[in-house]
Amino acid sequence: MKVSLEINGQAVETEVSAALRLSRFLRDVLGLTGVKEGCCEGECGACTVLLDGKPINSCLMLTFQAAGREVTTVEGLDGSSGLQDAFLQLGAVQCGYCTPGMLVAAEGLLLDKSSPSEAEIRHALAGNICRCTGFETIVQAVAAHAATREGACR
Amino acid sequence: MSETSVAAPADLAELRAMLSAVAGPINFIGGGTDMLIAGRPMPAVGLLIDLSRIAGMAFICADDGGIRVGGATTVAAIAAHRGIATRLPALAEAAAQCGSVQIRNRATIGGNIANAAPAADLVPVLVAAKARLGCIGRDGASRELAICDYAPDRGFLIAEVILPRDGLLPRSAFVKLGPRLDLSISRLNIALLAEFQDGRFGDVRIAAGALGPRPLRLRIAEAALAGRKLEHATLRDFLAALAADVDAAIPGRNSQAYKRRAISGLGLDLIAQAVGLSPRDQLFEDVVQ
Amino acid sequence: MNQLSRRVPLVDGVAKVTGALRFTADLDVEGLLHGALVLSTHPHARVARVDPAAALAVEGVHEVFWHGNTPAHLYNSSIWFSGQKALADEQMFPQVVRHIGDRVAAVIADTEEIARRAARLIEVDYVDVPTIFDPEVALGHAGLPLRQDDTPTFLSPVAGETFVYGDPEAGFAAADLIVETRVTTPRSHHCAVETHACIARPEPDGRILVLSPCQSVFAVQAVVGQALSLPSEKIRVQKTPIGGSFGGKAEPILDPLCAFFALKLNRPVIIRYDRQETFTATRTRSSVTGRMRIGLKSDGRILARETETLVDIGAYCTGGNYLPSSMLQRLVRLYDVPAERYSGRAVYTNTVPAGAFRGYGSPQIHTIAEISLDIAARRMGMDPVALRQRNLVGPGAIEPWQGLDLGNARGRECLARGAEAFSWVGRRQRGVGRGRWRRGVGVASATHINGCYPGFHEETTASLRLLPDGRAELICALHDLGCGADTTLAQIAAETLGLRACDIVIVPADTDTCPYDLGTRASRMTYICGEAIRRAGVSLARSVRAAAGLELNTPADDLRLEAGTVRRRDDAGIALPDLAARLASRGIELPAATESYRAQANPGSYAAHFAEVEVDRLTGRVMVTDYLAAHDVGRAINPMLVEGQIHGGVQIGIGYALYEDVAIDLATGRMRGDSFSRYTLANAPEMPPLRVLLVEEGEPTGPFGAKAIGEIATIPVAAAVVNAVNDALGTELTELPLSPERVLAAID
Repeated sequence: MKVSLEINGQAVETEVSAALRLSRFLRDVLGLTGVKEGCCEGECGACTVLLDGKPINSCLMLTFQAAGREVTTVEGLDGSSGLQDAFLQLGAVQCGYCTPGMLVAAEGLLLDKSSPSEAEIRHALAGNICRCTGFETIVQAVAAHAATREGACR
Repeated sequence: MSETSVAAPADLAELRAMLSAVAGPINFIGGGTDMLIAGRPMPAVGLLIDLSRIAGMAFICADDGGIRVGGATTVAAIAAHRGIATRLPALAEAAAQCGSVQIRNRATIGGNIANAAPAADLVPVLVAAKARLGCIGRDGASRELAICDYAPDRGFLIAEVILPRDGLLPRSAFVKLGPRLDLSISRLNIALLAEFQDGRFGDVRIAAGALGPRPLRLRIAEAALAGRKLEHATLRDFLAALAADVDAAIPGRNSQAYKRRAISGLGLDLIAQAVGLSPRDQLFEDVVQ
Repeated sequence: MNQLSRRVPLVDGVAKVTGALRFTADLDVEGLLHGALVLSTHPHARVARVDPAAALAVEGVHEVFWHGNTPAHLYNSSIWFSGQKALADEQMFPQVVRHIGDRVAAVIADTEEIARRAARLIEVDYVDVPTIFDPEVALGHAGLPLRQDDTPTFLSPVAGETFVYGDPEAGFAAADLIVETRVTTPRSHHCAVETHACIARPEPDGRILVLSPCQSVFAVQAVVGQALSLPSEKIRVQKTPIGGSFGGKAEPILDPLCAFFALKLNRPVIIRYDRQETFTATRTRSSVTGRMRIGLKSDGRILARETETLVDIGAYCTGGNYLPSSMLQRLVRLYDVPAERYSGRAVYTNTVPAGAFRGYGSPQIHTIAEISLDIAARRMGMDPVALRQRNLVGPGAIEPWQGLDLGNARGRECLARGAEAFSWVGRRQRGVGRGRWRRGVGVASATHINGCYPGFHEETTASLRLLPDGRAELICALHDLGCGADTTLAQIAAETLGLRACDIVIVPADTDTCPYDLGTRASRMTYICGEAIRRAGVSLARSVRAAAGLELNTPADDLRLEAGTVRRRDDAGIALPDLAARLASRGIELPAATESYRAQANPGSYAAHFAEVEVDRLTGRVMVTDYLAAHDVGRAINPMLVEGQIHGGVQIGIGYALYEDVAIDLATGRMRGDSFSRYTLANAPEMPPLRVLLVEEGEPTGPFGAKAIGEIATIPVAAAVVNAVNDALGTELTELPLSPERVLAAID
């Protein structure tokens, strides 16, 4: 079936099969391999993308369900926003496999709430598993970046 | 490969027309957060209808007597809704504790019911609130049934969840116990709706999940609380009653020994939340001395 | 000095945060075919019949492989080099499957979706044979009830280790208190977020190229060679980026299969496990039952200790036969125990094989010993910190088993400074409380090794050469598992050359272009590879100064390398790109240096961890509410990465203490914890605030004084948490993980 949607700001129109998961469409058809798969049951969050600005597990959504909607992957994050740099500078990245999903989930949080508390950050990232960092520096990076972003807005 | 075709009706009228017109098998997908989990079979044939974008299926109406929630309303929308937080805080709480942000943004209330998991977090609240389900049959016609009479295999689509005014009580609470704080499948969850005035409980309804194939009312515990003053003796009786409810629900199960004890912790948390106290309040601490 | 003790971000970090880094399953390989496996649903059975017909009939299927059409060569997936002696009991597709998840068949198809669908159509007939799931039973039966065709599938125990030092009987006779414990550690899984994957591609010259997220390209080459009976020179292995390993990808599992299928079909083949396959068909940390008897003087001095361990290595040997001795090796490095007796045995069971997992025996043995020691402290009414302080080894201690010098061992400083920073005394005085929630504090010490000396050839070779643009290329078969080893080692190289870490161009590990190395394991990267690289750097710096001396008309000894420039004492100098250009214009080869380094020591890294917990006495739930880790790292080349290792180690350790267990059902052999929803990992809200304290007293044999952090980071965690729970409740819980059921059962 034919589906049109917007991905990382670009209109995409394509033929997809009914059972194609959004994560596989993004990876296999569009080559957006920043979208990872780690469990396919909504537990690890490696496949997190924004759907109309809200984080979702792209492995648990069929591609045709995204028709007419806006999808943002790690490739579509504004590199200049500083969130990625905060992850890098504060050591919130180790193996890098969970990182894209973690960044997208964090971006979704900050779109919803510009200055979250530490508890709110941890709660918002509960659906993203990192096996390397103990989440310590990830939480620090999101908080540090939120503070910078808030400062810049004022 | 797939014989499946898909449809995304724009509104309920189109959906009804589709249901009565299509002869072959029909399956529905909402948020997909249960249906698409690895290892679960996908429908191989027939029509797959996406419910997640049907106008008229995602709404919350909490300004009249009761509350009505569209079947395709997301759990996130329920968690964030002011009207629900005011009228039935237990439902908002259950929604907020369900899954992760990512799951709440897709999972729907209809799906939480239709998936029929024993530990589904929203359902104990709905059972305690005597919810009714506005369903659409395979013929496209509407019918309404009590949540306790719903069975997923009967082919009814849950178009809306109706919480009648007389089912709601002024206080409500929801607590769960899982292997971790956040994003965990409940090993036990409990919802309570109650009247509570001048330190005394009136009518009380309690339902719990993960104590059987589907959430059930805890009648012994209800009786131990109803009409009683919030004081040590009541709480002690209430905790003993909860254990008795567990014994009645899962006699001989491996988990019985654990759950009959652990439910007392959840029970105190539940009361604390319902009456607006901290679970660490001295009142509760005294009970467990 | 400009590169040491600096929080340099990962040299490959930008690719990671932009999602540009391509992991194995992200690679574009032309003509790639996809494999899917059929895994055994029976714990121990003869595979009587495999009918591939229905699968072969599916459009897009190229071939079905099973024991009938694949080599039956026996191999051991844990070997590190070809020709290594090891008990070879694995096969690509065994005729007798030994555990649920063992390999039965594989389908190769145009897409993963087709391959998986076709795999479900393969009919398999199993003839069940008797099973053993319980290691105690395995020990008693010695393999005999497993006979089929009069041949036991395996014989237990597969390995044993005994050791006696001093006079244990005299020690126990003189003791004021003897404590006996039995501690069991669970079988846990690595849970790297990247599932297992491998690609193999036939090369035009008849060789096979294996692209593998591995811990040693040479180990992959050796295992593939043994499994396929191919000479090493026919196999080229390149390391791909790795999405976490923790030991889980140390043993090549999919690599021999992919290599064989690709050669057979003359097409590149990828196999990518899903999460459930990664749980049931890879490796786990072995579960260990430890019995310990400790004799102490009333002042806290340990007089004698007796330890018995039983290791469940699962269905295949892999490296499991080393576990009894490696646990002994790590046990005797922590305390000064005048009389020691140790007996360890490893047995097979019909369960998923054990393998390496961050510490290789160390988490198990230190968990057993540290929980036991805490029970002793409580029984004698002594502060657990004081008890440890009384017995810890100090700098220059010699361990009794191999007679090795433990180096600048600073476990005492970790304990003292950690206790101070954690307000240990104050927190203990505050008490546990009396209501529903109880607070407790726990401590545990630990040690771990630095490399493989004196076993194996603990030697590596590093080459550095100046590039025309003034940067330097590093070749050393490096496998960064995500811990930041590349960054740390680049800092070491850069420090010697007056460059920045980002100026070091690291050549990815490749059997064709890199000299042999044992790989990333045994906490050897910084200590062993780092020293080789430091030496190569010093040597290259000498050559560069010599070359520049001619250009600057200055004796080499009067030159220094600084900020990419060779400078004289008067600060005049020549930038490295200019130097390179001048050399090139005169036809002189750019300076290069190669150094081989063979380890002469194996010092200990030390740590003391402090945990505070809150236990809900009604539900049995434990929350870790505060955490401090003090580590003796010699010197932190990159404190940010060192802290990162510790943070991650604590996450794994908290899970080990509280919830992680693949939970093999002793009746069926089925793994209950085979998905992330049934195998609980600590997520962000579950983690306490983490503080790290580094003790940097320098290790004389380490590069710039550095020693290892990777594995020790997780070793004391579980014991610290369990000890805190026992403190809070006044219990003696010793069966891990401390599930709410076990906690409640202990406080009747």
